[in-house]
Amino acid sequence: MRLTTLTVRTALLPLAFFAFVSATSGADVIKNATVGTPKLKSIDAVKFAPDGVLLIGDGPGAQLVAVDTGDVKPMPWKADAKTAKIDEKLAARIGAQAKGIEIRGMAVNPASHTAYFVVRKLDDRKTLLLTIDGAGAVSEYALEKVKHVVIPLPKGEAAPVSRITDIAWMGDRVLVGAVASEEFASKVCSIPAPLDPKATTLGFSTETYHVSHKKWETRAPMTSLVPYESNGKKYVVGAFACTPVVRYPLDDVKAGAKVKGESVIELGSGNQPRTMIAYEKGGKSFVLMNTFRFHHKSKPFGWSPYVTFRMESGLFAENEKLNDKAILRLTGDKPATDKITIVAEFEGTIHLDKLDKERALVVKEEKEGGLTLAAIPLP
Amino acid sequence: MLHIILFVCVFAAPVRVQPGTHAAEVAVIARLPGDVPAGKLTQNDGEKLLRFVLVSETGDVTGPAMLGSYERRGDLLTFTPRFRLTAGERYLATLTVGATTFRAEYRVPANPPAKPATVAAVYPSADELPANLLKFYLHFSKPMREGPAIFDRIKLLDEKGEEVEDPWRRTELWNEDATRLTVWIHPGRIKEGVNLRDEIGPVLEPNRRYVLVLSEKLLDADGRLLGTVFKKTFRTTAVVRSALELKDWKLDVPKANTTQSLELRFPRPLDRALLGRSLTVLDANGELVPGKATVGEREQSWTFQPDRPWKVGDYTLSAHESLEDLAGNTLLRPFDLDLKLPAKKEAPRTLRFRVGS
Repeated sequence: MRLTTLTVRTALLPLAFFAFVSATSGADVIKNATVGTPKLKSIDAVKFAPDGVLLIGDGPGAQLVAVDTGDVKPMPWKADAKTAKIDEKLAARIGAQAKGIEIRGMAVNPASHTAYFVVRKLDDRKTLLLTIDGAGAVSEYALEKVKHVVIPLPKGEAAPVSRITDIAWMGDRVLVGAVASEEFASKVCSIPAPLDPKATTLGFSTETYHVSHKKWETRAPMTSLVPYESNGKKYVVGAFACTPVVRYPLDDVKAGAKVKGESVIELGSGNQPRTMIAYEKGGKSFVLMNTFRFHHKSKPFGWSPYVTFRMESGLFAENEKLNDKAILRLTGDKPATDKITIVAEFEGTIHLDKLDKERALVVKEEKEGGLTLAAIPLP
Repeated sequence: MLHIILFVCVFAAPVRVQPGTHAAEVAVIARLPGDVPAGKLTQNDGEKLLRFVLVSETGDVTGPAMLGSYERRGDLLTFTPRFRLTAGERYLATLTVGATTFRAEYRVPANPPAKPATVAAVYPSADELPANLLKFYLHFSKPMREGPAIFDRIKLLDEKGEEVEDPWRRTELWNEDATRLTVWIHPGRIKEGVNLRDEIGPVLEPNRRYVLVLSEKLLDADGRLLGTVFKKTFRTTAVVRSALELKDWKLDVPKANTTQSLELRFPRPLDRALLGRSLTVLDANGELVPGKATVGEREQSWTFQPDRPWKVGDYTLSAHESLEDLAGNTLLRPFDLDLKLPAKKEAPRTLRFRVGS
């Protein structure tokens, strides 16, 4: 497999950069695919690998399904693309009121810029994929007669997973974060690329841990994942359900290993991370993360509980200020660093993905009610 | 002759909505003069002629047309929605022929009355729970409506009857048929040394009384209200931050040539779901002994009745490493492992016993 790695080094942070990895064709992402209808029990999370390959995490089915959508013709979005009441529009397309659906996730296909929405119809509990292209057309992406592979999630010693929390394409592998409903398990499954159901090594799962105050070690579920490379070493940057942003050396994510994350950023308690995207702007690299602030009522950061943070990715290269010395966004109620900021334009963002080099696509709640789909310049 | 007249009358309507075997599965049939080619039409082309639209809650009919398939046979254009219609909702079919439009409205009947869902069980079942309790299992009598709003309808009240602030980790974890929801108390308020706990404090304090309240506004999958508030009152004990110890388990061994139950008692309650599947009995050859396991009261005991009589000999009770107590402590480690303490040897996970005559 030929990989193209594009990296940009920053003037301020010469050792830190994000690696954006792409493959030459869908065949490099999946291998030994079949055409048919994958049997899914749920669609918990979706992400795109290169060349229009859609990665679907199905926790109850304990599987990762990768679909070669063939959706590779770019259709750019208008500069000011904005659709009000997107929940009503998606719902109406399947014959339901907005209150009758839940938008569970969104991923933008980098090959075509089409947005794929995971929509759950609440009355019959069916989950399906709807798409919106750059021209605003709403369609269904039916998972029927599709070219796909099914990769069973590797089984660890512990109980099976219940829900996929996030998926990350790492270039040479796919990482899948998962949680269980019955035990405090915190799995990260690593599946080598190309995704091949006939491969002899299908991958492995390992548990993630977190250490606080250099003293207390606990298992810690990851809610979002993004690849990161620093000083020639690959990491996965993730976030726990209770805000510490951690990094794990990818080399440590191996079979049978006990993977211990190092806290690099503490955003302030009461935030549940949802999505992270990495991007570059003005010669610097950043990570944008939207969170659900569950302490919104008692300690709001704005009118919406959905808050978006921009973090300079150089912070992830930190080797001294880790764990209990991790960089705090706040000291008391005041900002402790200008490298982590709340982005006002993204307030209310529930779903987030990178639309193109300059813009993010978001589903955000509006102060006066309803959900809007909007393309917003990356901050 | 009458049949022919009826047929002509029915098809005199340029557009109609015909229910299938279920009222929510319909075909929209339009009489279509003109030069539209026979066969299947794309969604875009079909919509230009025939739109089938949900009537919004405000009565608006200008929303997007439903997705589905269009096919023309003879002078009839049939639209079949891709998805079932929603009970109780109105839909409008609009046929456009030149400058003329024809309409047909259709209402899906509301779901028939049915018994509301009930809370079938809540685990842990004990009324004394450790202050570092990790989770509740909520069992319902029928599939429930999923969605994050459910976390706003499940509350914890303290001794003053006031709501405990944001107690839950808001990650939905349902079983496959949505009859069981696992509700986690936010681990960040349980773990030692985590900012959330340091700043806000734990959800549960020791030696207090709390009430778990499930609102009557919880919905089942069909959108019906639970109808009745459910409450579980419990007292908290001190936190439990130690690993499980197999040596503390009490085993009552049955006699040979009987199918008496093997009985196991624990000094503290264990997790209901994990207990149900984490213990196995092996014979002297390491073969699994088939039988039926039952979790006892307050999840503090476990019994195993073999399918066939016990034979004289040695047996092993094996516990899976994932087995937890109510605070996430396992046989391998406490929930919060103190790294400053010397590492312990790997704890045993098997108990040997002998069945005698």
